[in-house]
Amino acid sequence: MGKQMNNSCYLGIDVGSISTNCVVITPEGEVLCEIYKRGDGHPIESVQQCLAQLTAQLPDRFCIRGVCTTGSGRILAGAVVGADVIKNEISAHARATLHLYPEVRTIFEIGGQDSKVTIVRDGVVVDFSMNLVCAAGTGSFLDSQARRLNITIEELSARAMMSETPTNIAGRCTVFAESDMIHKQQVGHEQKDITMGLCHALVRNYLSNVCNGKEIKPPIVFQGGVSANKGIHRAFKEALRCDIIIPPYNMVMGAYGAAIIASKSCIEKTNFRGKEASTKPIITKGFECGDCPNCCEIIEVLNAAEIIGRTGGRCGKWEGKTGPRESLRGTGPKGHVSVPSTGMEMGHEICRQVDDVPDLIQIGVPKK
Amino acid sequence: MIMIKRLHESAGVYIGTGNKFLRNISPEWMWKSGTDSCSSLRIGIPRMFFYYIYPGLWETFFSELGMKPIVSRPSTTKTVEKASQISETEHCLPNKLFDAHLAELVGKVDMVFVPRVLSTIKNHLSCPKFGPLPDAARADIARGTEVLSIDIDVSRSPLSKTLLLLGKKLNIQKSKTLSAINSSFSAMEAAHKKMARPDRIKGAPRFLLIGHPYVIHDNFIAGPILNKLESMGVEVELVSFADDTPAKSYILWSTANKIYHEINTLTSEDYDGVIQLTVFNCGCDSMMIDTYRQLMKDKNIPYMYLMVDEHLAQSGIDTRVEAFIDSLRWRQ
Repeated sequence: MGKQMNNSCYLGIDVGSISTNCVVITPEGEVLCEIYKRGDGHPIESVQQCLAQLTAQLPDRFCIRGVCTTGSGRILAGAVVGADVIKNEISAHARATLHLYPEVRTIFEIGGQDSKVTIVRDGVVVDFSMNLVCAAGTGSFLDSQARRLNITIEELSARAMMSETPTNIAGRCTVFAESDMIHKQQVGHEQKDITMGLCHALVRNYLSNVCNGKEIKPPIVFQGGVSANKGIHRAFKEALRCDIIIPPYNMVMGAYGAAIIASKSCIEKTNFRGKEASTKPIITKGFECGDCPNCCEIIEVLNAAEIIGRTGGRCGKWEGKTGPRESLRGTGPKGHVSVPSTGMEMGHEICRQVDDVPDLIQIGVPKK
Repeated sequence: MIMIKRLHESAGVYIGTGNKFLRNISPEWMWKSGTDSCSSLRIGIPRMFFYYIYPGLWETFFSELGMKPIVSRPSTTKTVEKASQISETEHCLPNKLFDAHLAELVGKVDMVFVPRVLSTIKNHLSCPKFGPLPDAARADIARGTEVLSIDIDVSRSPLSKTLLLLGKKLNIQKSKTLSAINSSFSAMEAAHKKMARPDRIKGAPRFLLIGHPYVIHDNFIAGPILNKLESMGVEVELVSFADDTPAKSYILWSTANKIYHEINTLTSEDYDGVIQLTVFNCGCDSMMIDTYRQLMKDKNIPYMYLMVDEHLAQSGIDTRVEAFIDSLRWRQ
């Protein structure tokens, strides 16, 4: 019994917009192996490659007893690997941070497409906020600006640290930032000052948009892909005038949190498909539902001919169902989801909906 | 059909010059032939804005007057697609949807109804976007179709008087209009009740959804969020706009004032959380979010706002809703 306990471990997978990360932990929360992989827009292949790498790294005696997926691709990844738990990334990140720093009060998390702030008091998440429709304060902002400066993201980080007089760059919007940056280049500002200016712009944007109205109290932990950027770390320290902790495993905290969630979920028998999930080709196939005017694009995840999951509907009747397609057609709500109505809907005696009405016949008078 | 034929014959300027017809000619002649022709007149009501602000009122009112009210379908992805083709890009999502709903009715009805809603509570204002709606409809989407309009300005005259005027405009007997007003008011009351409060499930976490009535009741905007909350075992109540008395507050917008009035009386026992649903670039909401947040913080009720746009990213909404509910469970 004891021996078996020692060999069990838990896997957390975080499928984000830019990277796919895996972490394997022991039941006590000790990290056995971590993988950070920048994706290229193929989430399924990225997950499979991560799994293959993981099987190579992890000693054979360990046996995965539970899997949790998180990140924006969590549902798809969950279907591919056979996850036991699927958890949102905010909870996963908070879980990991609280495990490492029980006294934390603010968590900054900046990823590729999302930036979030989580407010923790007495070890409990009390508030959080996430960027809205715009990606100006996120990693993709830095990525695109680095590309514009023709340097890599790592170089951007290193150069920003050399700056002594950062340039002031408008960071409200990526488009404005870009034109402002071009202007500053033309005027003759040094590149290192411009890169640090970009970091300041991102931090300013983050603090004014995402952290708007939140009580930012130390200890502050900064994690997510962008936390590897020293320029941003420095900009945060200068803006908030306090120490910002960058945790170990800062790049893979989401996956670490997911692994902790898996280990605490009392999974009796895991659904994990094991090595098979990383070797067999998994394909996705889209089709239009067409049961209602929403015409949702449903994605089917197929392992050879076997359907292992579905995602993408607005009404929820396809989610996670693996039965034959025809048996699910026509079931569930048809476009009219659960919004309480005025009671004057279809079939009401005094009111008719437009679809029951024939077109007007245009007669007579020609247009001038 | 006979009636429509007659209509077109008698008003040679009707087709193609709808605007001129509307401004200058009173629609009196339409009713000259008596109630029979009235009853075959189809009036289109777009399922947006005033349809949700005065739920159930318009269908009942026009039907009692002897007309056939026809309402556009609840918003779906198709409506949004249509909206992106025909509407102004800078509009807010409900305004875009309004244009699509209007376009759906054009060609199917004899006239469309687009009131100019200036104020719905005394001494309070509506969204300024409502002001030009009838003119915009005449100039663009509903060009060539008659647009029936009336100014609803409760600050100047109460709704019942406005409806009386509308009846007069349509050349309907006063007694008939009065009875129509009565029954439409009671229909609105019933609709308000039906729209807001679901039956109480014991033990389930209970949330209040706040936002403009045409946002929280729209099938496309609120549907997925309500579905998500329901699938997580949360009971959602939609804020009610039935009460017309203005709160004593500095807020001049009628919807915002009603919401403020509703949530100002809440205690932390009433709800486990309040979610505000807002649409991208809504000026009124962007001003109010901080007020609501502060108010909820003082009352110790968890609060979150969700902002949606036409490219409604379901996974982003799911993440926020799930995390919000997780954080509430953690609190307990």
